[in-house]
Amino acid sequence: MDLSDFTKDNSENAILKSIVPQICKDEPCCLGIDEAGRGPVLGPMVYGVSFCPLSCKEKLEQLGFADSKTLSEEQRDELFSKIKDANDFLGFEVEILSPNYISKTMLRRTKYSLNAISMDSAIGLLRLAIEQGANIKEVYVDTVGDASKYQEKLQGLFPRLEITVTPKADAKFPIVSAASICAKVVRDQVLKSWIFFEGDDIVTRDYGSGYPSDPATKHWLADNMDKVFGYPQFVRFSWSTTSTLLENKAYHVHWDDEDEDESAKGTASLFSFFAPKNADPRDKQHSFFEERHLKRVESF
Amino acid sequence: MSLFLNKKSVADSSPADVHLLGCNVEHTGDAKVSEFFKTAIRKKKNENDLSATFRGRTLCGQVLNVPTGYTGLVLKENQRPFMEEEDRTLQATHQFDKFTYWNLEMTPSVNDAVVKAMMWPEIAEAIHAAGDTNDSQESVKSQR
Amino acid sequence: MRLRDRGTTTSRNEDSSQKMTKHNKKDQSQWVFVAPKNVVSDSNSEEQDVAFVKLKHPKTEKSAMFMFSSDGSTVLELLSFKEKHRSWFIDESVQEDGSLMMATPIDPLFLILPYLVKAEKSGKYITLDQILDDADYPQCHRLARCSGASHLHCISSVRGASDVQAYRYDSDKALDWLKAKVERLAEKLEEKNVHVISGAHSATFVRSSKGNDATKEDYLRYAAGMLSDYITSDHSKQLFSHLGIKAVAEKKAAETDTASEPPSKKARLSTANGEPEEDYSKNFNGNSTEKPKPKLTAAQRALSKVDKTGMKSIASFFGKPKKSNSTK
Repeated sequence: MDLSDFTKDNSENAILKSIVPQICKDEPCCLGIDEAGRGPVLGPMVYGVSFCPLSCKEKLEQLGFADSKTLSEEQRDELFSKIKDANDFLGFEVEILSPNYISKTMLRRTKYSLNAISMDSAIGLLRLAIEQGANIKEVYVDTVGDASKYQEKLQGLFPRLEITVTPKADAKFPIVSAASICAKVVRDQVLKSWIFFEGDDIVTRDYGSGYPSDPATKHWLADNMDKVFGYPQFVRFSWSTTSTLLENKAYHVHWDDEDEDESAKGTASLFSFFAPKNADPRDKQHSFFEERHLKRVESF
Repeated sequence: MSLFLNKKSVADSSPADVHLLGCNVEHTGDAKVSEFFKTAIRKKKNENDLSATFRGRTLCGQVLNVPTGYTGLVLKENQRPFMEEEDRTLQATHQFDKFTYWNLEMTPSVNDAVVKAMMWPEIAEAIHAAGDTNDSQESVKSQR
Repeated sequence: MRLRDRGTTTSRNEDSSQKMTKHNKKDQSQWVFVAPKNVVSDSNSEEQDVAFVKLKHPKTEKSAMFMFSSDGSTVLELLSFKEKHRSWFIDESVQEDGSLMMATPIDPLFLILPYLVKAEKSGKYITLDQILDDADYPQCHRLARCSGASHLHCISSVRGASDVQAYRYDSDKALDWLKAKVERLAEKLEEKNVHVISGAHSATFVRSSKGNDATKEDYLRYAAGMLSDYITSDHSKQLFSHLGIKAVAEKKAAETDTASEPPSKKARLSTANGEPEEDYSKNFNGNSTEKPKPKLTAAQRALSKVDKTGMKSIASFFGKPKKSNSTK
């Protein structure tokens, strides 16, 4: 599979997609949405959608989809080949959400949750399918968080679609299984072939599945930390696994949006409006200097 | 005791790539800046705007020139003398004429304190140039 | 200078914000520094080193660090740009202290002026060497060799032959000298569009245009306020009166409590939610200061508004799906 759009800069997100089969433009379609790699502390999260005409549901079932989690990697790869081969009636799209994107988005000043990231990716892919001309009528989504809220949100955005948000959708609906396989295969592929642009020698490659509970992943995280930078962008810094490790083992880093409670408690300086009464007025500098954070040097 | 800057060391100092980070790192020492940081720097659409990530957070950066007529130096004191009375000497290890400054998630702007601070030498000159006051008084009077 | 005590001396002399920051390592041994090329460049290897010297600051009347060029003709003031959440990367290293020290020439007359005023009490004309006699700051005699000291006549009356001149503080001349500086600075501030009045907070964002509605007097007031950082408060009062302006703009009187309180401060504070002023980042983030704080955990949070910034939509394509089954 051609992942070059992602691998040339894996710090950013990328979308891979098939052509939209003509029949998907002509006939009403169902579309399934699922994700892979939500839990891992390493690598991207991948969102997949697949769609086919409602009339092709039987054909789809014949491809033999099942819950991707019950399949072996080989079986998934095989099914993904079948999906690509079924390009006369089956279309798909995959969005790779880079670990760097996940980190910096979740750690932003304005909070942005993984649920929000997930939904936005799903919505974006659905929108893209529609923009590409697919005549989507029914949408099946594996749940993210509260199914009814998610359903409500999607329904609000796409009032003319028949939307079903449900847990285990990939086991219930073959079109979601297909989406799940696309996402999972791409996630595995990206994980295996990850290019560390920080340098090949920067870390070892025995990082396992990327799940925080995987002993290989645990060892890798413990052995590959840089005390200044933490980890390469391959690691999701927004995971508590990561922040706990950094807190304990790396040099501490302070940002201006943390410790707000602490500063409210009185780390304010004499410049503060609530300056101590005994402050020497002669020490006060003109606002020109204060605004530029320029202070007299008293010693080296 | 006195404190000196060894002038000869300035000539011997090497040009350095210098970044003013938008966070405080509790460490002074070696860091794999080329591997971890420089590889993360991207140019934004506006050529002057840069982005990077550090510890999973977004930094927005811009290159700032050292004020005209000025030079940037990194000064190092190799060994602080044991006795308070002894003279101390600082060595220039690096020099630079520009540096990149980084803000947490905020695109650099002319209102950033560091940009305004770089204007100080020019403003300072207006205060401290020992110009002939009679001349300047004349010019001021003629304006009134 | 008591070196061994430096850590404690530092925190005693500096304000509490600096005491709180962890930048102030007493064992700091590296500094990022900006200075005039002609002062630090090695034009002649026989030259003396540049000297850092403690002198009595003319406003604080306390010790502050200054720098003398090799030939002693230039004295420079040292200011440190310092924001709380900053550090440096210097080549392949990190420096925790994120400050940037700047050395800019200072008019030596500012430093001589307090000594001149003190000497005037005797009523006699005395030489500069006699004027610069301070057991607490023995290095102050260096000021006599500064080229700027030749303008001493601007703040004093002079007697004697050219080889042995004696001086006596002249208040009128000194005030004229300060006034000229104020006017020159005011012009520079205007030229540079430095915003000098309160309520101009929003004007900082349109500063490129002439959106600054400061009057001539506002610039003069601001300039005189800046100059007042180099003279005693007594001189500052005389200067404002000499200029015929009040230290605080009258129309803004309701907004400012004291002369020393910069007008812009109160405006900012009123929007700052009671956060300490020195949380520098808050100020320079402009109107985005009150964003909620992110959590460093993967904990799931309530949904925030849809935002796809950062998404890269690549029109990538699997050429011909039938032929591209090389997924392994």
